[in-house]
Amino acid sequence: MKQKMTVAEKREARWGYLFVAPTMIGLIVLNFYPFFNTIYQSFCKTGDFGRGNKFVGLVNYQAVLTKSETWQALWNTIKYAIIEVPLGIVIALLLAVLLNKKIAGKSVYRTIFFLPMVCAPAAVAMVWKWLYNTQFGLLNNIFGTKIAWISDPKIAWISIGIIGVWSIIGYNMVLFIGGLQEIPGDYYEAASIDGATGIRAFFHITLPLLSPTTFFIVQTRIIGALTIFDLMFMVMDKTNVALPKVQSIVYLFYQYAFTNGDKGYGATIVMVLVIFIMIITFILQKLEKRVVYHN
Amino acid sequence: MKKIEHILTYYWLWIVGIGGGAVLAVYILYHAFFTVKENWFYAVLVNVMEPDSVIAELKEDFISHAGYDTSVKNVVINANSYFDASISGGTNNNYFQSFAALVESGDLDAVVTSEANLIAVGEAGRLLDLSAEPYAELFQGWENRFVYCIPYDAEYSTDPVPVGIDISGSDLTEVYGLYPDGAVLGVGAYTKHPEEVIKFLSFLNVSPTGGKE
Amino acid sequence: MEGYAAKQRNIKIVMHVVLIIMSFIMLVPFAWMILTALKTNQEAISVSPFYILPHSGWHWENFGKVWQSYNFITLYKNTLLMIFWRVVCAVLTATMAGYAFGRLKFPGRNFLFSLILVQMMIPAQIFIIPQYLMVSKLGMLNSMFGLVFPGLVTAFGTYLLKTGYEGLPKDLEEAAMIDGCNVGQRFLFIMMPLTQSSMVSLGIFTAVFAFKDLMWPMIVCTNADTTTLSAGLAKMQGQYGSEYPTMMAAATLAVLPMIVIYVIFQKQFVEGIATSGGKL
Repeated sequence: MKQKMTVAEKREARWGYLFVAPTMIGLIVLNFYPFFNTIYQSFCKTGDFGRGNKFVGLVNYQAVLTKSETWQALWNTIKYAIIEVPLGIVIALLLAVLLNKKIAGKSVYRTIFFLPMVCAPAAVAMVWKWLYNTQFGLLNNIFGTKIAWISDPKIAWISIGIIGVWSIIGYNMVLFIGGLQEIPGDYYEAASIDGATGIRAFFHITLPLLSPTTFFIVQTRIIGALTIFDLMFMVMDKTNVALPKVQSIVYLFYQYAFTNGDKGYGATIVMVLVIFIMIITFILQKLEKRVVYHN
Repeated sequence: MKKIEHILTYYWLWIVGIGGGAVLAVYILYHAFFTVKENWFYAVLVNVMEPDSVIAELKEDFISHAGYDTSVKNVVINANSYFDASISGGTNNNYFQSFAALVESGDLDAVVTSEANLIAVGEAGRLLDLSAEPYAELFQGWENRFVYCIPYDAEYSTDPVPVGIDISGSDLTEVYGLYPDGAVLGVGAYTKHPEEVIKFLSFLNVSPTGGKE
Repeated sequence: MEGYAAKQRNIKIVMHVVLIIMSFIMLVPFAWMILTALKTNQEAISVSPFYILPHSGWHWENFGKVWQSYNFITLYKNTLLMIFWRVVCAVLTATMAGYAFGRLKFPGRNFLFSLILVQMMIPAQIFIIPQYLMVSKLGMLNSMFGLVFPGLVTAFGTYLLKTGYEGLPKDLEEAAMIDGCNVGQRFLFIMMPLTQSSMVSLGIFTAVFAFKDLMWPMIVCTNADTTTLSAGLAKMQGQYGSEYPTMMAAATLAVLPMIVIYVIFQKQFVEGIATSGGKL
């Protein structure tokens, strides 16, 4: 930005600002103003019973960072992401590629894979609770086991991760299908003349050309998995003995900020989470130049 | 004619965009200045299973009792709220989140629910301390109906704090058939009109001393 | 050539087997929802895995009961309107911003884009109270604008569309530049039509999220005739408590319009293939 901009560059910049203006103004009003409010709150002790907030500096941060509960929740969240992100993406990619071929009943399959996205969360929670039920659950009945799928601290995080994978496949698949459609068909024609079909075409054409979409999904899913909340909310309740080993950091935030009414402490947990995700995102963005193919 | 066609082809997005933006702006400004925003009174009745018509009747009766002019400010009786803070996982739902939002926005004036639930909500500091300034005077004389809780926040107080008024056997039960197992009324921590709560109490035929009991 | 055809057929069979198994796994909760809706409450809460089908006949009256106790027409109307406006707003703002981030150079671009990413990192729960206050101050409670409000812009969509624009070949735009098109015309006539499938994906996502958004309609719309399906039916869950059959009947009725929307959108998807000629 040191050199003076040319007229053409200036014109382009003006268009750029014009195009991002609605989104940026909206985000500042809808999201960043509340976020700054949260940052401020994290330095305050919440005034209960209608008293105002009291500025306390870093007291909340000290409390949050020294509690093992926080680190355990962060570790739980990471473990969840390790299951959900890779599995969810690989399975969705496989399905999207299959459904992008000329295959009978394609739209029926697509509609079926879409259904879990709109299913009532209560129905989803019920089904999984039933599948996982220790005494009467389908899984234990089939395998003849007595495993406490969601209340054994050693297993619960995997069980939750599986529900996560299941519920995210549809989303990822819709995105992959969109990405696959933007690959021009002539690439494949050219490749098939060179004798690259099937698996080889997949690795030499589909994967590189799909890499922007894949990167996008990886990036958004990592963020999504690290802010996981709804799933825990539905399946785990406070009496579950496995809760400390499963609860995500946003769940912890909810317990403090909403159930216990300590917003200052809750805001601090959010700050810890946001800073953590920022670091990961920064690393990912640096990697982007290396792994993503741009034509 | 050709010129208009030309303009339409090349600038239709601009026309739609600017036109749409203008309509939206007018719409927002109109609402910001001309709609009724303030409330006379906002109450949440938690865990009510009776049909909406009962609530509507209650609202109408209260409006005529208090003599509110609803063209100036609104009266809201919100019975779409289901949570129980006193049991494990009882706040893990969207109703509780919206309840918290109502309290913290200062919109909520009164909440009616079971005693255990109200105490649990009070412990988290979401209700008005009825013995604290500046509203202590207003609730003076209601002591024998007070319901107390010990707040989580030990810095605030380690002694029981009055957060609710027992309204068991009030007209809410006698006339409208709500809360047959007894109920407690709490005041939102950030309420802007606690005087109206007193009006609501008198409408329900609850008086500081004895009353209907 | 005979062996080639046989091999092709075998591949097709394997593909179908994989897809059918996956379909089955994905369908379970949906089937569960419908089956529960047809049971008696007693049957619904029994946890024996072998009580999958209703025993004492199929209780279609659960649907009738739900249909009568709610004004479904109003709920459908509000929901569809909210979805419509949220999709329009999201697609419009996100396409513009996505194009700028993906294709144009301007000072501060990386900083502004990092704000987009930061927005996605913040847990949505912290937005509820301030956004409610804004709508309340504007006097927009119980209005369509109030319902659409949090969906006016979308960080996720902006990022999605940016990815879409980045993937397009450079030479397309350069040719148009030589023809003397300005940025606006290039965007409108050349680039935007090519990102159709990203726009459709964004439309589907926005619709699904808007449909599932329970929290927001519940808090801004307290009137029965201004609220949406999810929030209206949430009341049903509260009212009927543990009466699962009625709850599930309500949920099934709620999902129907979404499926119709998806099937319509999907056609768009298929057309997208025809124009870009994508095949594997």
